[in-house]
Amino acid sequence: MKNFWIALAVVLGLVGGVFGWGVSTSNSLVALDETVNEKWSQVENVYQRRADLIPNLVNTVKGYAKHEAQVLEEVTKARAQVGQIRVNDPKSLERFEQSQGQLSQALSHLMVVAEKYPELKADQNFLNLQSQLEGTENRIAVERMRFIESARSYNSYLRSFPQSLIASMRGFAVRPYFKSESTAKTPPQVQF
Amino acid sequence: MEVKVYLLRVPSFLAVGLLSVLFWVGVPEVRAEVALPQAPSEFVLDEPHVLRNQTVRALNRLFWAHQQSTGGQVVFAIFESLQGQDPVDWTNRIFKAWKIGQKGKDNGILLALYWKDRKSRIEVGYGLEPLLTDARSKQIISQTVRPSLKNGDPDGALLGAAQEVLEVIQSPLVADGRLQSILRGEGHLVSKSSQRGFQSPWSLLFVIFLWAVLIGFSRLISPRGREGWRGGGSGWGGGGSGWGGGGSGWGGGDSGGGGDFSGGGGASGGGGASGDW
Repeated sequence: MKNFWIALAVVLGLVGGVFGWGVSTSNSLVALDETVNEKWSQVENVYQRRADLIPNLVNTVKGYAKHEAQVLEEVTKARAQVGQIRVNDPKSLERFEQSQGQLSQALSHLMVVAEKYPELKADQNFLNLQSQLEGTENRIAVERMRFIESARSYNSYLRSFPQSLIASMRGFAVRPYFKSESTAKTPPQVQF
Repeated sequence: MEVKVYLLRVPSFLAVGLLSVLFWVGVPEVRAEVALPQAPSEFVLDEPHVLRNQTVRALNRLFWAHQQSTGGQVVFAIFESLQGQDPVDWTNRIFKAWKIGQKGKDNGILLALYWKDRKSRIEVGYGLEPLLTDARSKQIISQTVRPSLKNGDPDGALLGAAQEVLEVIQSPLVADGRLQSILRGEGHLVSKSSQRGFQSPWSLLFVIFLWAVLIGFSRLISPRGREGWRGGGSGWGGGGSGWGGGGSGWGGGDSGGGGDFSGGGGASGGGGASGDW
């Protein structure tokens, strides 16, 4: 009889332990997943911040450089495209990154063009916008990096054994993230 | 009886599970091959020793007083070099490692100069981004820091930047005159307007009188605050350290010791501006 109780206690202990481990694993998965969500919304914020700067920037440049219609249109178009993308799967994330990259390109073209107009470069409003744009690009780099880090640690936790058992049971999926750490970080070099 | 003994083992299973989780998540990712600089014990770091002692003292006292009255942390650091790193990214990482500002409020600011590389960067905590905007940071870098450094005047660069930064982030030190008095206490005349104020000997006498009254007053309200600010005061002597003690008395006496910097857990996200000279 005594042996029976001991055996029962061992079994109960094992079952309880495994259950407890399962619950705590599941909870950490939830927490990590939420961290990734939080970092992602920061990424969206800073990209939105950049998009919000553009109308003002385009108007300011227009005031001094009317003949640069092509570059201005490129920027406006790229911005419109960025606004249309909703990210909900790996495919849309790829498109999001691509169109944000195009916008970065268009913006750096615009900045190269601006170099040709001394009055524009001396305009206080333009200078402010320029430093805001620079700051926003830095913010984008930072938030992208933090998002990638959080997605990586979530994914590596989720995919390693034995947490992967719990993850597949509870329907957690691998989170896609950006391929490169930063968007075009090196500005184009121009000589005049 | 034995049943209970065995059941006690259950939490240990849990603990092992939790521990492994904690360990897994808690392993820090080592990214940089160059080691991040150690957080300084004061609000000013001067690796290449280009600042005068009184500048370091004045800035320390300012930022300490600012922390006492607002909780925000401002740190100015001059590093030998960038060690081949990108100034923006590197300063952001230093900010993160030093945890400048309060957790949740993120009210920290780091001004970093990389001496040999002649690069400067202001990194702004999330919470101060609405006040110290990128455009404003850029102005401070290009209109205050840069010209002084070009003239070979790092003291002027940092003192000017300190004054502007504290003004922009609406530090109470500006409104209640402590900014001016701390800088003056260390023998620095701050701005043109204050210089003008001293041309009359009577106004100088009046200021001295005010000082005496205030020092007496601060002694009255905080008789125990006599440890003063470490390093003591020169120039204004006891007067200077009297201010330090008074300041911490008004701050509610939340921490003694005076002048030591220790990161409060603040975060930043690349806001600010950079430049060179």
